[in-house]
Amino acid sequence: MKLITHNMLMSPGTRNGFPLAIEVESLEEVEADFNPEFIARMVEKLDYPALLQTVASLSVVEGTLPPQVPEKYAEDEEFLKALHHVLLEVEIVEGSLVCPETARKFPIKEGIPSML
Amino acid sequence: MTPQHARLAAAPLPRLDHLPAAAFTRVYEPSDDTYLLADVLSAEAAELRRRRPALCVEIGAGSGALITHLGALLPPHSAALLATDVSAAAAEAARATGRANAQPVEVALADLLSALRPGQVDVLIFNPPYVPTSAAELREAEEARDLSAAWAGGPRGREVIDRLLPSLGAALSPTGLFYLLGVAENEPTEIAEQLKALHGFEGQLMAQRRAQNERLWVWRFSRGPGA
Repeated sequence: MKLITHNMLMSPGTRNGFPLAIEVESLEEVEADFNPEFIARMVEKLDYPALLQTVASLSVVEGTLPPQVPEKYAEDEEFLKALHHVLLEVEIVEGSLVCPETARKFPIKEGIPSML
Repeated sequence: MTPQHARLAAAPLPRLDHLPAAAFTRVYEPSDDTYLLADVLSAEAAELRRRRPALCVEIGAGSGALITHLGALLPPHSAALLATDVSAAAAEAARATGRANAQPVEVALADLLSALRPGQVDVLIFNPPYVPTSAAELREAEEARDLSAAWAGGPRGREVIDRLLPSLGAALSPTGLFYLLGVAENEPTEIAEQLKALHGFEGQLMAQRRAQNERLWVWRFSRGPGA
């Protein structure tokens, strides 16, 4: 599970089940092709504060993201590259997602979260 | 088949030869229904590219053939692709299909749209369990979470479809498109009326095809004119 997916997931049947906390057992950094135009479009979809909170909780991931989305983010290559890395190049392989409302745990196995 | 549907070209599906034959004892193997939805997506490729979707989701993705096909129709690395299913075997197959075809398909085990934050989905595709069965047969399929859950649809084949309909208004983005496949017994015009009443969605029949004993259709829904 990439962090781009994590930013779209919530705990089913809850009002405030977002963002899910991540308990990491194993994490991999992978390489993904950089498409700045796509990352810029994703900015409008992301819950950026939730992403920052998640990155801060993962001690192994470098926190190079600014506290706010830059005003001219679509032309800010450095920002888009940092965002690309966080969204698409960090893979949670094993661990759990924890609902912030109910504390219910959802296992992640071999990179696949189970929200059932 | 009406004339405008007759020119629907057959689209090549993604490679599936990475999946052993045994996988299809647990995962729905692409069939006429899959091909029809793939053909509709191919026919829509120019429109989909124009819309620049950022998040594409397939629910009940099975082998992952359709979400992978959709990814291949869009410019490379231009959209997030997410496949959900209730079956662990399907989830593994969908991820493998993405990888084998160099499409970055992300996978989650989830029931319909219940695990998605609202308002985000730009393109949603669903080839649901549409075969009319008894309600009891559907319950058994859902408990087993085996291959029968890929097709058993309850009375009129509508139970799973009907469970999804209320959640679509919140799930789709303002310009979101929803492609739904089914059979004549599902009564698609009634589905369209319900989506109009529930969410103001506009529906359009995209294709019909007779395949063996099934009268297949694909409808496309959006938030209305201009959306």
